[in-house]
Amino acid sequence: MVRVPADGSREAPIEQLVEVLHRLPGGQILVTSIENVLNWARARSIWPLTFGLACCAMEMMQAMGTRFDLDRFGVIPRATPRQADLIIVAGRCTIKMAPVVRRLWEQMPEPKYVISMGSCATCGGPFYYDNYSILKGIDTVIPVDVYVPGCPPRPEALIEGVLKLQEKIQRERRLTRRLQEAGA
Amino acid sequence: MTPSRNPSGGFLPPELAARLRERFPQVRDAAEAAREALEAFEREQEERQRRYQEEVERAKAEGKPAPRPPRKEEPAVPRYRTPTFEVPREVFREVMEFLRDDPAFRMDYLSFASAIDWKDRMECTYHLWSTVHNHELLVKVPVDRDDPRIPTVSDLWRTAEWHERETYDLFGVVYEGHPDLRRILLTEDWKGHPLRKDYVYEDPDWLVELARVRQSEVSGVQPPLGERG
Amino acid sequence: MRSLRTEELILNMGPQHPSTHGVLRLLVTLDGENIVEVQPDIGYLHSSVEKMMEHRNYTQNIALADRGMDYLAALVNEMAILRAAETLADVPVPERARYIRTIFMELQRLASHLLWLGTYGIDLGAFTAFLWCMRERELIMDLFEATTGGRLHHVYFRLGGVNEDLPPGWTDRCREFCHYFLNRLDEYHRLLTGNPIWQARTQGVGVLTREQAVAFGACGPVARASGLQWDVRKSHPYEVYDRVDFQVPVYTEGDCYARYLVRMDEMRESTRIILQCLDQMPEGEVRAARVPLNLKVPPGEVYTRVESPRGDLGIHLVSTGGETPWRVKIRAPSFVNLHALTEMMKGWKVADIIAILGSIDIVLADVDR
Ligand code: SF4
Repeated sequence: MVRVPADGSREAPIEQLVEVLHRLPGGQILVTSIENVLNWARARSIWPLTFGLACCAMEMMQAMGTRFDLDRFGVIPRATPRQADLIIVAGRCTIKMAPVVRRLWEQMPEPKYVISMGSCATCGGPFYYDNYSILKGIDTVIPVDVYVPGCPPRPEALIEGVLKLQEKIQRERRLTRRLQEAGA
Repeated sequence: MTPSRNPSGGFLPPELAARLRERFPQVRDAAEAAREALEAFEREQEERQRRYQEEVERAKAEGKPAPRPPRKEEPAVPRYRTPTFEVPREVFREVMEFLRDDPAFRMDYLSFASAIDWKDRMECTYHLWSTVHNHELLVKVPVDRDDPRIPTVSDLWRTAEWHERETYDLFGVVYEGHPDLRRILLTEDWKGHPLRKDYVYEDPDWLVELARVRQSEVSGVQPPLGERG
Repeated sequence: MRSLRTEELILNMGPQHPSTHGVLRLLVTLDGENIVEVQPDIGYLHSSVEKMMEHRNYTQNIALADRGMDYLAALVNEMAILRAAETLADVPVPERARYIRTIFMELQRLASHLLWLGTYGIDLGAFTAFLWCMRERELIMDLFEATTGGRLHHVYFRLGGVNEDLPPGWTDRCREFCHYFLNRLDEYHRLLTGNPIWQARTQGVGVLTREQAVAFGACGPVARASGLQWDVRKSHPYEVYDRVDFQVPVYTEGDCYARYLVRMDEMRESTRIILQCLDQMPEGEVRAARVPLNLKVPPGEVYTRVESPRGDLGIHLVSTGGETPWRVKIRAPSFVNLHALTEMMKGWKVADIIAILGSIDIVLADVDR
């Protein structure tokens, strides 16, 4: 989601620079390269929110622990949503918890990503039938970028999910889209 | 701690059970009643077996083929593997105080307080255990299903405070005299009591609203962040 | 001099808080730095397990017990459900299966306590403990995986035994791990037990007396740290716990340090139990023949308990003779321990909240079910 700021809001220096570059002949290539560099930086330092809901959070902890060591991929957990780029919804989300997850997601600065870990977060998992308190899928309240299946997914699966997210970030064209939208 | 004399289930010395029933004649020993029913059932089975034998012999004497043996039946009598007592509501508080304070019982540990919904009636259940004597006991109190009310025991065992709140939340049992009877697991505005057998789930209004906001985001007509209620 | 007006402050912690170990919300009333009252707000992980169990047969309930209850002690939950059902239905269990169950439950206890120690280390600022504990926990996960196929959720126990026999060579690996682990345990002691920072943050903090422990129904390591000599494995022995020799560690101080020591001692005892079981284990069947998967449990009621890593886990099972139970009441140890927390915290400082909360080792899925 790209939000075009309302008139009068200050833009980051890099964006002002890009705007100038964009107008030069052949500047498009430069913008794309800058975009690639930015994406590379973003993808290699995804900071998730330390936020575990249920059993899947144990596997998330193991993934950050000694053997699997997610730090290798630049994934360093942060304790507050204001510093996080990624929220890993690890586990089942109850109806009582849904507004809280939504609020946390809203508190994160753009660009932000969501990994839904485990079948509970994806669709309610084993708590789908005869159940009155579990949300049937976290994507009814927040948008999800990568779904990791499993109950619980192994740490390897989570790592795969993070790599997929990196790929996705690498392909993003935020700046270009934004310039186009502004030009249109 | 000495191991329980009945390792797989609960244990209460028979003399104590007798003492309890002597002190409170209204109290019914569920296991006792079940045992009587089971004995009656077994007597009946023996009787049928005996009659069948007679028939077989009669058939033999008359030279006819032997009749079919009766079908083996399972008793429909409930088993109580933990000592269980049914206590009427009127003497409930007295019984609980007695069980806690009597030196021979000393049931100072309340494991849980809960309820069972039998569709046509409702029972409140309590499990008591003694850290001194290591014997245990299930107490069941029948309550009115349409308007379940029972005096609280949270002044006798502090742990009952939360257990009673939970039972209120899930079954709607009102504990009279409880200091702080609120929902504990579900949200305050939840409709109904989910562990009752006739519960029907309904989405809370705010969840519907939240899903609507999300839907409008998906379809690209979301209101700006600041304008959300 | 005019006296300053003071006011109580209500501090909200959670439901998302890095050290509340899951989705717990604490409403702390503060007088300056001092805690006046703590009100836990729970239910953020209430997954309606008791209701769901009424609609599933006993074998399906094993899988549900893994997930819906205390997920750090999945095998102990399976045992809790099975103990109730098997007691009510008189299901025979072969000897070898009993030993296998005991070994796995103790391994599960080790894994659970290790995770607790690691996260408690993070809470108190000892990050090394987390890394070390995760290292050993992975080895236990490997042992689990080799037999049950799962790391966290196993669905390994069945009515009348276990699903499969141990793979070849497993016992040797397990024995090797136990010896390795005993050395590691000494290492933890060297890292933490004598550490002045560790002691300063835990000793004398969050005291729960024996009387309070009984009144609040505290159980497991919390009760044993307060001097209540009680372990379900001793008082209501199940499986082969009456055939192995082990101690129940009891401390009388009732503070966080005592709770830490109880768990450390328990890990040593668990290792001893595993080693004894490995020695005594007979050959033979691991699953009783002719126990159907959709067993009809005869009508009746039973209350049985097992010792989970967090304490006395009780199941009140009511059956009306069908394939599914009529009512399952799960008496969760964390639920009562969390209630005791309200008493433990009174009068301590804000900075102790985390130390006390971590020391009772709650699992929110167990609290809320
Ligand atoms: S997907 Fe499985 S492991 Fe993950 S939270 Fe749900 S039940 Fe637990």
